[in-house]
Amino acid sequence: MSMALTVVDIVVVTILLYNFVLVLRGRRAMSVLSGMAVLVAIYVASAWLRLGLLRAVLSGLAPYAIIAIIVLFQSELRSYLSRLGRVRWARGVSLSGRLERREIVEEIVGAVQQMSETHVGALIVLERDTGLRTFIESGVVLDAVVSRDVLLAIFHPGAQLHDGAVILQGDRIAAAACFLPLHVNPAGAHAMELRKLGTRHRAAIGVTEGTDALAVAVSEETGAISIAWRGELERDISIDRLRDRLSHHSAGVRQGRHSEGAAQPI
Amino acid sequence: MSLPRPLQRLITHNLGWKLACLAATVLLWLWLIAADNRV
Repeated sequence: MSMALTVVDIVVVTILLYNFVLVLRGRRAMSVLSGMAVLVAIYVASAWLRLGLLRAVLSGLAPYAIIAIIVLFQSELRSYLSRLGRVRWARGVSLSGRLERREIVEEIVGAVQQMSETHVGALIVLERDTGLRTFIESGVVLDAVVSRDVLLAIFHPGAQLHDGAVILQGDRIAAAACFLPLHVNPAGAHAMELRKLGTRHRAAIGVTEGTDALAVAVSEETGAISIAWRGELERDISIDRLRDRLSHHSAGVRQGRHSEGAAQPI
Repeated sequence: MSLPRPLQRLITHNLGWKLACLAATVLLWLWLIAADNRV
């Protein structure tokens, strides 16, 4: 009985720790946590090797660690608590979940189609497994439900938020007017073409180079729709192709590993 | 007999991080037990 309780104890703490790691991933705080892990490792090594002075210094710092953690991880702790409070598992993997995903794809496709027809420039990034919080924090946080009208309103020329990228997390518009890293080293056969494309398309490639996100760009000049994935740009695609790619991508986000994608955490 | 797909996903997704968290928790637990025994 006590063995079973110990296992439950360990599993619960593991789940809490794992959820905290998920909140930290993609944020700068992750490197702070790595630094703290290094200090703990040094402490353990000093205890093991009986390095009295080093151990005493690090033990002296220990009482302040909890205050440092609260101060350094203030926003992450807030996200963590709100994450624990949200009932994510209620959505589950159900038929209604799938319909919801299809609806989201249709909302995005509808917005992109209209922007393409009216030559409105747009850049939409769909987060997958790699956290994009650093980029989200560079823009204006929205946390709105994905809808065609909201996307059109954001990218409307002259609107406050039209300059920059919109980042989507599942069925939410996480933020607008986000700054993205530019693809800085256009080399090879398509170098000249890429240079001609401009900032929006280079940002679309840039954000997908280090992440597994999918970026959709609409050209202001030509109205052409392009998709960036893993640092590769697929230009001038049809609406059907866009729908196909988005469905595939969103299935990877919520339903589990398709071919190269990953699923939402527990 | 294979596990249902949602269960498979639950286990295999982010497996590295899950194992790292489990390892950290077990180490913490062992350290607490060692500290208890010392007392």
